[in-house]
Amino acid sequence: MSGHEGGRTMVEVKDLKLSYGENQILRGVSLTVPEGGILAIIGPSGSGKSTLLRCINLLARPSAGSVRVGSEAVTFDGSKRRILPDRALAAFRSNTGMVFQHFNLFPHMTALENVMEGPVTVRKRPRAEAEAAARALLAKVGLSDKADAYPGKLSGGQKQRVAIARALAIEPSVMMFDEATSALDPELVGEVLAVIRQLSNEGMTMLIVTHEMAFARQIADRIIFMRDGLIVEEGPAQSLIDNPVEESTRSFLAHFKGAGLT
Amino acid sequence: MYDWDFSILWQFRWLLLVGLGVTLLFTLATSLLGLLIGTVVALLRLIPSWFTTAPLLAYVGLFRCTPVLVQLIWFYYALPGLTGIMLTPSLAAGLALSLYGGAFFAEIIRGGIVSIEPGQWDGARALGMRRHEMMRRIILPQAITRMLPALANQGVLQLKNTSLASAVAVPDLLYQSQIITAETYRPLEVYTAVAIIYLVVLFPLTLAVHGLEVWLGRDR
Ligand SMILES: Nc1ncnc2c1ncn2[C@@H]1O[C@H](COP(=O)(O)OP(=O)(O)O)[C@@H](O)[C@H]1O
Ligand SMILES: [Mg+2]
Repeated sequence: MSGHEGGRTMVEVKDLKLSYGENQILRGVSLTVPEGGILAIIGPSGSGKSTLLRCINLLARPSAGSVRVGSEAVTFDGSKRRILPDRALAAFRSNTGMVFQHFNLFPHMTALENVMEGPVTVRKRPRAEAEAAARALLAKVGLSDKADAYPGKLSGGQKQRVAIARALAIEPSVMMFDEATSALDPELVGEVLAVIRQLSNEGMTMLIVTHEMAFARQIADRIIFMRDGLIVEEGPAQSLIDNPVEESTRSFLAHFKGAGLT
Repeated sequence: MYDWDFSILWQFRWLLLVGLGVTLLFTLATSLLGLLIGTVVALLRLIPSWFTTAPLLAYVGLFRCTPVLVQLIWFYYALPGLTGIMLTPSLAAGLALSLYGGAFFAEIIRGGIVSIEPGQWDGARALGMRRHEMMRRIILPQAITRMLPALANQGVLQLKNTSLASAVAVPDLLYQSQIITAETYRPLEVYTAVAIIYLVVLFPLTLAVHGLEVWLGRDR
């Protein structure tokens, strides 16, 4: 699956550092993702994977380093001033689509309204146009019949597919998935992974934090293994899973091999 | 045995009606102004800076922790002496009741806003929403549903508190009943009637609010 590599760099993270109080959460993380590339990030809980994704769309604020998405870049200098003015901050965030572990759908809106929210409020599209596009996206994730349902009436897998459609609706240049299937019942994981797989076939640039090792090995071009806020090992997906070099990568993966998941 | 006689009230029906009108008008005006003050204070309180937080905390503390009757009298009698600004009774009472209500509304609204899960803020920000868009589209609509019982409760208190404006001679329902009492020497009938009028206005209102809550919570 490495056919997309070699294009221009879509995401570039340089020497990212972040602390919460005394705790150093990210201790100098660098990575690049080419256009159309898929990077999976694995590692034990608490290693800083979510924080890393949240830095890339500026939901979290690093103290040092830089982030570039497409043609827009931000450098962090550790000062207390705001990173960007509100308008520029929002514009930067709309370059990425983010899918959260706990969906974060808007409960007071139907599935359709959730998907229309970005196009209408952020992209200022006319409602009729936004609705047509949102219905097409719901069809794409297999939820045409749930357009008028409120999130509270949907299963976990359906919620996450609406969340993916909502993120896609703003036409981001990069999609980020933060343990998109970790909160799902096992029998619902497949329907969400199928949607992500479909996006990979369409050439979407993606960063995927996941505990689904078999899926990561199959779909990603490269995989990063993180521990304690550092990248311990990075490599092509299959070789990192099948033949990890570092001892800590090996012992982490052993948990999954033991459970027969790869 | 006391000999109840409500019939004497009939000749004062217009006075009571006017009093009720003043009470309702006062409630409406001070609730709306209080809500406006409360919303502004609540939104400003979200700014993580002591330059804004400290004066707002002082305002909320001052008005929440002193009796509203004292505030009313203070605005009417003490303010002119201190600032030279002479307020009419209605203006003094309106200002005091609005600021008093505003302090409570501010806490209710702030509580409603911060009760919205961090994931909702994340979801809105990740879509690229600006602050005001996130507030208007995502946070406030959910917060208002949660705040509604407390806001309605404060509205009920606000209506009953307007009776204190009679202390500075605002001709509200209670003030009129004092006048009627002075003429008829029938305080039990007068105040019983006034209590019934408050009840008749407020009870359906609380039912309506309950209905609204149910309606807002539908389908979720
Ligand atoms: N807002 C925060 N405040 C303080 N500590 C945090 C915050 N967010 C995350 N952390 C801490 O940062 C560390 C890394 O968290 P996270 O990025 O969520 O790891 P992962 O996603 O790999 O499980 C954890 O120890 C967590 O407790
Ligand atoms: Mg995480």
